[in-house]
Amino acid sequence: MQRVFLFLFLPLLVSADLPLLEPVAQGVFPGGLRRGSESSITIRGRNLQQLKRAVISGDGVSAEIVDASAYLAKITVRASATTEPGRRDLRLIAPHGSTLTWIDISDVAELTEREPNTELASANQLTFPALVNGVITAADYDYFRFDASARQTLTFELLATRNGSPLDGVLELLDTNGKTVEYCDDHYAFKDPRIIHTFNSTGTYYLRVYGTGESGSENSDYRLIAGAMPHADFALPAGGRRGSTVEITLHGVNLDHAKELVLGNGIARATAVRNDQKSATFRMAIPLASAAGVHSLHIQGAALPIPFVLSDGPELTVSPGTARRRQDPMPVELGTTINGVIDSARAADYFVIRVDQPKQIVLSVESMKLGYLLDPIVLVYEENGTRIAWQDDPTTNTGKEPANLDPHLTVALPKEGRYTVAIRDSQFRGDASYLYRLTVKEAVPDFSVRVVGAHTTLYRGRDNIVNVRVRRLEGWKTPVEVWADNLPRGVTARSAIAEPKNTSYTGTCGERHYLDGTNVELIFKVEPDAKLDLNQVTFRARGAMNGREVEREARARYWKSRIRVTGDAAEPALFATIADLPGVVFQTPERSATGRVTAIVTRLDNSNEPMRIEGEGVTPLDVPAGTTRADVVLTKPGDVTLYGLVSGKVIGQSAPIRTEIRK
Amino acid sequence: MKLYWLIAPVLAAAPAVYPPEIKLFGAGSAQTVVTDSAGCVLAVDNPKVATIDKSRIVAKSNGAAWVTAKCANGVTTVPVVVRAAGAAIRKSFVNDVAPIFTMGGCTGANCHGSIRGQRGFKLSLFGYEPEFDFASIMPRIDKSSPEKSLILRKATAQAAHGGGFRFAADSMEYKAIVDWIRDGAQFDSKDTPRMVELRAYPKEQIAGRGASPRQIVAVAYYSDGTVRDATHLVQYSSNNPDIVRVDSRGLAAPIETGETAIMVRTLGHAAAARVLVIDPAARPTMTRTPRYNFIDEHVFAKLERLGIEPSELSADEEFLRRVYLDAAGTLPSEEEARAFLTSKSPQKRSQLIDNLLAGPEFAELWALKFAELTRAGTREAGAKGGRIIYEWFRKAIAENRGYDKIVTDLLLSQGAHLFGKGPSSFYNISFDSNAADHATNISQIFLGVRIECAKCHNHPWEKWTQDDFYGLAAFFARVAVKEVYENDENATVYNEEGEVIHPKTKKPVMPKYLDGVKEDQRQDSDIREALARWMTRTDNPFLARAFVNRVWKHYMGRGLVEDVDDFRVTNPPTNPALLDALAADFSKSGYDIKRLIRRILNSRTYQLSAAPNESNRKDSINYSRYYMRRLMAETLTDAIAQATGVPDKFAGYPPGTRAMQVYSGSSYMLSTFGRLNRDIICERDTQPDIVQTMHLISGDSIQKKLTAPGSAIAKWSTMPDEEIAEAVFLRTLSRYPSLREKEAVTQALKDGDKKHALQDVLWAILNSKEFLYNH
Repeated sequence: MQRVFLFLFLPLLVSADLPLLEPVAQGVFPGGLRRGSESSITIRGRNLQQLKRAVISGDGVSAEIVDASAYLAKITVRASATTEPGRRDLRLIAPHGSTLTWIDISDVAELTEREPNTELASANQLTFPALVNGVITAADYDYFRFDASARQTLTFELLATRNGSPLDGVLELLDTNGKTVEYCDDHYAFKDPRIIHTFNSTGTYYLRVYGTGESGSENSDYRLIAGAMPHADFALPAGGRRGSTVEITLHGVNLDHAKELVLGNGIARATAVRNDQKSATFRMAIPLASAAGVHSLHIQGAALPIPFVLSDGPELTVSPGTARRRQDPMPVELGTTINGVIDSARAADYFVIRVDQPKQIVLSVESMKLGYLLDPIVLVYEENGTRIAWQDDPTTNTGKEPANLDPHLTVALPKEGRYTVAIRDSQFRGDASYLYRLTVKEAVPDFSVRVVGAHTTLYRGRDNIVNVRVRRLEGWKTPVEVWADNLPRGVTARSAIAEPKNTSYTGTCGERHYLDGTNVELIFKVEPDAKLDLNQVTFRARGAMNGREVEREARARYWKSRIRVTGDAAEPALFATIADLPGVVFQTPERSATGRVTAIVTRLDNSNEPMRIEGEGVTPLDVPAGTTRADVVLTKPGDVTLYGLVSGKVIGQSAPIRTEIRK
Repeated sequence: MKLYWLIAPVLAAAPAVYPPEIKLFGAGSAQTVVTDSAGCVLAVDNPKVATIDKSRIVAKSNGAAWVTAKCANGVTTVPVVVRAAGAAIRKSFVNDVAPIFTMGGCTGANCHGSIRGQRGFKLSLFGYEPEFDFASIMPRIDKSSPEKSLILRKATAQAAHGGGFRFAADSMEYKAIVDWIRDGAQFDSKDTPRMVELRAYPKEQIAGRGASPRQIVAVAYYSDGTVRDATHLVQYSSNNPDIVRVDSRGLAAPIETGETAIMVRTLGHAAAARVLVIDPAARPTMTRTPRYNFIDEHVFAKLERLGIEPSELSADEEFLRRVYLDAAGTLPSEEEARAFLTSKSPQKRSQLIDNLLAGPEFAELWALKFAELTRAGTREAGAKGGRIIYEWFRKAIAENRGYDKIVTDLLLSQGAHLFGKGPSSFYNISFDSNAADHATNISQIFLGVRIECAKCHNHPWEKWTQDDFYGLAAFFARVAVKEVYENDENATVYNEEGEVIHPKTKKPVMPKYLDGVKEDQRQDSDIREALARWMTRTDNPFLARAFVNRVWKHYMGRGLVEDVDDFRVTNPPTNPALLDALAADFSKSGYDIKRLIRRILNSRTYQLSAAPNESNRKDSINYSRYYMRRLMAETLTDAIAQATGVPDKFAGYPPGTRAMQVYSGSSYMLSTFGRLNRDIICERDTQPDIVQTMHLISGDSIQKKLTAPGSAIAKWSTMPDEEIAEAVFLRTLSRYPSLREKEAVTQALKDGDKKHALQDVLWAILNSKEFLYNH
């Protein structure tokens, strides 16, 4: 039956209430591949029909769409043997929008769990090093059996939420009788567990993987990395100045065989100068021409990299415990970045700075940003011990947005003299992996700009909103103008001003909350005849303070994903798809086991005409304009699609509904 | 003559006189005196110093003398000292007038002490705010004609009064008020002495059922060191009027056998006098019961005073099942039961106790109890946080960490709730929980004090005031919860700033220990460290007593103080000496939990039979036998699973998880049998009810297990008939069957389908009291 789609192009402001029309990736299985190999990867999600392209960030990895339907897509991914391991952005692009998810490039042979493995007796055998891709459905348990020898230290890493999986996983180490030896529910900030265990006796053991509280779904994929491979929790220092040679000590386990260290995709390499089981030291020359920012340090044979920051200022490394005396703080020069570790509970590191005149300084901490669990707080004291400033989090974390626990405190030192700066965990905790990088410098007012979201869809004939966040740094106090560049023909957007006041909103109990910066809305007007296409839109911002003009380019930031993780997308531009809105959107379940289905109906055609819902295997149903819910009877098993017709013309359709008809 | 007086000499070797020393201050001052023996005659050896007026010693001149009580069972003397005998003491509003309104019941919550007062006359609840009461009373007095004061005309029923007659015109109360008005009806100056302590005598007495009422004496101690007879100034009430009734003058009448306390209170002070009522006719010939340790000394000493004969020592079968269920929360296996019952070792009981305390089940049981007490898993930290704190408790118990260290770690806890291995979610009752909540919970959990009433008003039954409450809350002023990472991931933090504001003064409150001094909160310090040090000091009056009482209740079925978290002067322990001894032993041992439990389990008191004798049948508070009680929900659930050989599956938990390991959440079976939902801190209801009975008779918990494949029935079905009964009884009841039971089982097996017969036998046993109760 030939269907004619009718689209109405009305100049409407796109509201935030629009049903989701863009592709969404909910599960990626397997979640990665070994470099030097090719893998067929299944994407589970919604609105995946008509995928045209799959783009993977960075060099050496490519992907192509093999098959795509509303809920499922298959792609083939190829990774070159020399490409850098680690997580990559995977963008899936369709005419109706794009999305961003991730895949992981490993350096280990990859396996897939073999069901049934839901009890000790049917456990899958693990041979180390192992990288197993698995899925945890509801009330599912995956058992793995392995042998360990006395005094052997094994690491078990579950990569799930960190790579975008909805699995809130648990790892449980069991002895040969199935009794729990150790368990971990959350180790990393966003729920992934990890166990590092040194075995007391030789024998057969089991690892149990499951969802916390028996949660799970078809989309709850994971990557289990296990073995006696080198593992580093952090490097100290965790950063180095470009053009300098840095002695880097890794701290972790099984590091006695860590021989080579590679920075990023071969920016620099180093060989070990000394090793033992828990540490390995390397001397690395950092090229002056390398890019500043966060890079990965890859340890030969290790499963996961650790972060390393390339900077442009002097760096100071503080061995744990050497700056603990408040009465005798460690002297530092303004402009220094201090690398340290708060390794014991209720400990703090103290530093002293001297200023020869009143001065505004900034204390900026990187810890959570680098993936560490320290929740830093910084405090400033006058010489007489009076506390004059402190900051825990830059703004209250409320769950509305991804959290930021790293302080950024700008403080005016009122007179010349010595000031003590302290850093500790705001929860008074300590751990051998609670690393921080504290930069103490004279404040130079500045701002950063981020696009809220890495992709969007701009609908023709409508006004579309894109949020851009301006975060004022180091005492910036003046307005900032934000605008979009590289706009395609038929798309316009006026600039907007970010006033020097954090955006606020009201919480559910009427309380006032503030965002970490100022959100500005840029309204994109898309003409009805704008070209249907994917565009990479860049944003810039400009402001002036104290006679100094600053201009910055925005980076796209993945923001509210399934997990509330935030970070910069590999590509700085916003992926903006120009598309048409359908006349009606049906939100339907993927399956119907009863032969009935309730569809949430959103009419976008601005018509007062009634709509008929029909389709093959659908009992026709007439619904008046304004209907938001329709109970539809399905008469045919298999995939059934609902069509919405107004005056005999199709204005939209549902995704297929997998239908069972039970008598 | 009442029977009591006949047996009194048996009960007391020598007479006692109360108060044990008499101090009189001021002209005409007097002290009521009582003795604990019959037919006593009082005399003063120096009538120039003091004389006797009925039962009152009356001051005459400054000096010292002796009061002698000659009784049927001996003679006792107590000193009397008189000072300022020539000085007329001005009446004080606070000390002399305000207590009259408390004593008369006028300040009660159902009278003028109610939130709205009565007929426009409002007094502070129980007279805790004399300034307020003074302002209320002043418009109701007549300085020119004190007798015409409305306050007196109402109280004496000369004017219409909803509260009726309160005291007579020739009473001491009436005279005190008139004198105060004549003196100018002033409020006290800042130099007026304040009451600092109230005592009631005798602190404990034994009375025969139906004996004549006996006087309770109250003595008030003041800030200037003076002492006054407060017998006529206090309000009396009985904790159990069915056992002892007390009138407004303090005459206590023993009504029924049992034990209770007379509460005595005035001006924010309270005291208690215990009365043990015995049946003199039922007094048995006492045999000296062997003592295994100091617990028995205290328990049996009291039983001897009460004339209660303890039950026999429990049989090995009784002890075996009891100690497994109490200490490990499990039944012994068939093999373990056989091994114990056949052992001839004289140390087999203590060895079994040691083994059970060393086992993982012991740690799981106490971890669950702690988890319940701290309401783990019900808060925003959810099941994840619940598991972390449960595992922390489990490890702490397994390695026998000192209770002082456990408490310290909990008090100082902070950190992200879903990470690490510590009790970081301890304070996370809810996202908006505050210092007042923490004070309420911590005082109840660790100090055994319910102080929450004092959050809104001074405590009605105790000495605690709002100042005490907010002083304790101030220790937690900087404890806060903040969000980290995702919106269900919170962390407890200790803020750099924060204070508690007193709701009345609107001023910041300094941290203050309960019954103690204030503490200064300094920059960059954690005041909770000071609180933890105070709480865990060996001389802390609360911590050890509260904990040993909880432990005692678990093993003995009833706390020495009930409810276990309601320690107050007016709710005294049933055996104060035992509670003190247990607490002292516990704190001096370094708060060694296993040692405490080992002491209790090794006592003969714990090992007494549950079978009563004629003497102790009615005793429910003196531990003269093991008190039978229904198994706790988790123990029963696991026992059914163990007996049937069919494990349960708990939602959200891996297969193989026992009920005792379910750290948070519940199931129908567990909830039905009293597992708490942990919304509030409270003790479990251990009473059986009809829902439980019906569930066991026809619900899933037993029925499905009886027919499940792989059950114990399948194993028994393959055994020779003559061996089955023994196997069934050892597995379920930890004992060999009697001959009659064995014959009944064998006959049932012969009569029909073996599998069905076994299902019937097992169903009957699982529904028997013997299985459902610990005994």
